Amino acid sequence: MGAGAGVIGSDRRVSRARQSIDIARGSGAGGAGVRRLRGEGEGEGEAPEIVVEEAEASEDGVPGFVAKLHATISRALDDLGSLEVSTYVATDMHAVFVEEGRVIGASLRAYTRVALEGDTIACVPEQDGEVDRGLLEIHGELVKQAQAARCELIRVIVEAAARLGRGG
Amino acid sequence: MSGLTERVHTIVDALAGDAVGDDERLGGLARLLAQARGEVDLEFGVAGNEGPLARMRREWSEFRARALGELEARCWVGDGRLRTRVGWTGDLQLVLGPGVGADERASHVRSLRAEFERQARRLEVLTAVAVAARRIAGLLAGPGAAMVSALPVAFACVREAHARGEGGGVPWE
Repeated sequence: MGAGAGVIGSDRRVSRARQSIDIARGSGAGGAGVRRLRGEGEGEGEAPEIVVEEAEASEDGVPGFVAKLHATISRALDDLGSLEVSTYVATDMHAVFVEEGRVIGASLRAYTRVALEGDTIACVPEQDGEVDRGLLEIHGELVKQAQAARCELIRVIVEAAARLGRGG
Repeated sequence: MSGLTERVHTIVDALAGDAVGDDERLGGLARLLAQARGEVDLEFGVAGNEGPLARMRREWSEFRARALGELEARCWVGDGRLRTRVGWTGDLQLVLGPGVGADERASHVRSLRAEFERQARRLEVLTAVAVAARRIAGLLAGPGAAMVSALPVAFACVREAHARGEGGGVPWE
């Protein structure tokens, strides 16, 4: 089973992405603010209360959207600390459902956790001194896929954070 | 720079430099931008149908409402005897039913790869919209009503960039 070679060293890139996000937040995320003078065009005789609305608070504005995207990327960065692949077997697939993130109605038969720095924990139960080769094979393939996907996601996140930070 | 972002920048460059030439689709985007700037009257469709800018605002609004949520949502890939619940940061929960063969497994792994690619592309699309919207906002630079059109116009540019790179289709899928 892969030992997370693709993930080792990614922590530096994740850290760089965090810095880019912090820079983008500090710079006001583009500054394309929406300003409106409340009172214009409203009822005659009313005191023209002048209120400047910044788009930062508005979902319609560019800064509001960029801020939401930043928040999403930040949550992803928080989740990148480890990678988990769990393989279950079920005799009745109709009885399988998910409750609070846990798979119910199936038995956990293989589990791999790869930390960002590459430390790997793999648990595979044996039955009568034998491991289920077929199950182990697909579990290992999934771990490889998940690691490759994780590396690609880190690349996309770093690029996204950099673009959002520098404005293009 | 990803191909999509590069194409979006090329489109925005053309709009910024008023260099759309006789490209019909770029011309449509230029008209959208002009409407957002308030330089031309809003076009209305036949029998009270919405005009292009109103339609783009609605489509952006619908897209935005689901896009960020879908980005983070866990989803199932596969059905029947072989399914995997996929988190967008790569966590996986595979459920294996009885009697699954090697071909089925290989096919499932390919489906998972496609899902991962789709998820990465979704983040690229959203980033491209945000980056383009900043540039579009610079082109609009006017009253607030115009500024809130930056994202819909940027979304239209990203869709066009996607269509130019992929030969059609919608960027989200």
